[in-house]
Amino acid sequence: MVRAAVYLPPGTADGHRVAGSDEDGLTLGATAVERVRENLGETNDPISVELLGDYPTADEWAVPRLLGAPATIVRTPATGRDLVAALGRAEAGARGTAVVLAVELPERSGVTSRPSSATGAGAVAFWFEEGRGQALPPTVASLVPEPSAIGTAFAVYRRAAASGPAAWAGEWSAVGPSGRPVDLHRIAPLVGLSTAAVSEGAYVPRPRYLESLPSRWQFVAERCGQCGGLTLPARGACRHCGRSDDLRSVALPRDGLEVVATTVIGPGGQPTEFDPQVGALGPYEVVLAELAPGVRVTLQVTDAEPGAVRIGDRVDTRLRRLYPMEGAWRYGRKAVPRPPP
Amino acid sequence: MGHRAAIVGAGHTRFGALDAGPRALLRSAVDLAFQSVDRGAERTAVGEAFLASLGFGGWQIGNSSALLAEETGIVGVPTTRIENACASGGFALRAAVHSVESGAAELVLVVGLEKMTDLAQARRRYWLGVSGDTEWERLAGLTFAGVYGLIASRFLADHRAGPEALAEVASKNHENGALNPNAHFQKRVSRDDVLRAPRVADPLGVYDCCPVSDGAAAVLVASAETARRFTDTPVFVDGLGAGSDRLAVQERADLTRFAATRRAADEAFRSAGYGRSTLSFIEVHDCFTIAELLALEDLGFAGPGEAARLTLEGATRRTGRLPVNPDGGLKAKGHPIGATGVSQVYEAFVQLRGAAGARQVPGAERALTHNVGGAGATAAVSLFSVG
Repeated sequence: MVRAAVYLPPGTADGHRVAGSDEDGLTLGATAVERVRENLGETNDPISVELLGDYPTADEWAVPRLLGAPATIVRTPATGRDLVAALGRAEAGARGTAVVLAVELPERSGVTSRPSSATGAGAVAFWFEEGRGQALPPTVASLVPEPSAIGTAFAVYRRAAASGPAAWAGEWSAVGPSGRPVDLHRIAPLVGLSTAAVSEGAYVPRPRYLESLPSRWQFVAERCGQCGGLTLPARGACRHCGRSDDLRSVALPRDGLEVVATTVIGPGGQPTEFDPQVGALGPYEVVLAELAPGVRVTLQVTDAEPGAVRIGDRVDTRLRRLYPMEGAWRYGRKAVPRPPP
Repeated sequence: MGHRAAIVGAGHTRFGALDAGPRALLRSAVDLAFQSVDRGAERTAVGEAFLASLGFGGWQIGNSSALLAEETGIVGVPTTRIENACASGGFALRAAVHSVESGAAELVLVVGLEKMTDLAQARRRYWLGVSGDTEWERLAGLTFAGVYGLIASRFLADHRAGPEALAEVASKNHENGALNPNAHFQKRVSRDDVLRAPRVADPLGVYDCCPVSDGAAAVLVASAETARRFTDTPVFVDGLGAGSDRLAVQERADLTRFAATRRAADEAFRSAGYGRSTLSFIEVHDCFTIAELLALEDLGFAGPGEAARLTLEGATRRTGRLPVNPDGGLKAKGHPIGATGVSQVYEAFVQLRGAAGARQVPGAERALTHNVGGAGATAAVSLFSVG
């Protein structure tokens, strides 16, 4: 049974959003999993993920860490038949199994409401649970696949979303200073941007990067049992009292963070590794945001015009691409404005 | 309170985009320092040497202090490179004073050097970022301009202020720089020019940022007891202070106060035994205009939120009640990273001896230098008086 499903661009029903330039199959796939887990309120359940799709930019080593779950990666230009087969495998499998279909499409032709013709990047996640939740009618086995995987995914998703409260439609929009959705047409996807485009970036070697991923992607901090202090990024020692013998991992909130300071980086103000981004998209905003009292992170703002976020605002965060290094994309969280209530 | 050591000679190259390479810059600054010693000093009198340098561009990042020795005729003496990013010079002076205080040497050479303009744009900006937090701040797309932009946004919001005081810092320092023949920029810039310039890291624009410069500066530090062997007017080091803070700005509880500067200033004034009101002028680390406002408050010359008002009133102009950066500061004089802290000591030396020419602060008797590494990760403060 499909208990929950989330559908991310391309091709939201009302067509007001395309995948951003810093999104790809991997960030969308991971975000879809994240959203489904949040929605189910079972964020600590073990899951296994079958990630289906064609990922020109994804590194095998990054995917399980990004998803926070064991993952099988089926690297294929997936057809509708492939997706239905994967859904069938998951349905027959264990509780908590998710199937994620994420695609990257090399060309962008603008906003669309027809998923089968969408471009950019998109993802669908389906969450299966044995014996609980609401059955998806008809069962996966009786699905007639459409030719494209994304078209099939959209059809399955629509059925799941229509089938009652157990199915959940994830959707978000980009909001500009006016409170209206931002026209993201101007944003050219970086999907085709070569990871070799930057020769000299901030040198965070891969082992150091991997070690920091729980803190970087999920805001996993350490709580000291001795002094109660919180440390982020986690480093195996309390930043307040220095002790390392009584630390417990805690995930800090990823949404609703208060902005403490903000700046808009103009041409020349960016580190070298952000040159291609500035060249393609222009200035970007960076904020310092508070996750818990005294625990702050610097985050680039995305899905908004530079300057849209002000001190005192609340922001949500999303997994996005940061910049290419050592031939692969580095991923991290970025801030997005909260949609007006 | 006794003096701790004395500056008996000081030399300074032109700062700017120079043809001279790093070896030539070292030689020029050191030659000028020796020439400035009133009664002369033999190179053989030097017992130890410190080179303040980031090693920008990686041209000789290892063992560069040996290169200092071979270029300046002091081969054989112990040499050490001191690296605390932009605060390298201030910390090198501190090491030199400790050397003469401990009796390890009677005369110590301190040289600050950076050669920055001979790199390709992209490589230059790479090296400008190496002293910040590279694992978090930088991955969000921040350089130092961005970090100071964040700080400035918070500072202006907390004090309900506009960018005019920032513009006044730039305009005032350019006015001073126009009188300094060694300055990178020797032209005036109006407040409006600053406010209208393209934004680099809002609220900071192009004119809120110091330039990328080449240059070197050198000082000779003697023990307080032997100083008068070299000159009748040594410039005494009365107080030293230094401090550090967390590297990343996201780790700091307070964005608009630099704890390292505060600690360094308290220690310097305590060791000198005199107060802030007795100073004739101060040299502060204005890598970005906001940094001068922070410095005025952190050093204790302005209360919280008062630095902007003090600046807009003209109190910090060369003719004001507390001249700040009479040499043009990093903003106009230029900022060859390792050279900056030593250049500040050079300014104290020439001003306190009445030899600063057109930019002379009349009757200068006591001075402070303030040198910051990165966005407040390290800081050194020193106090000087003329004997």
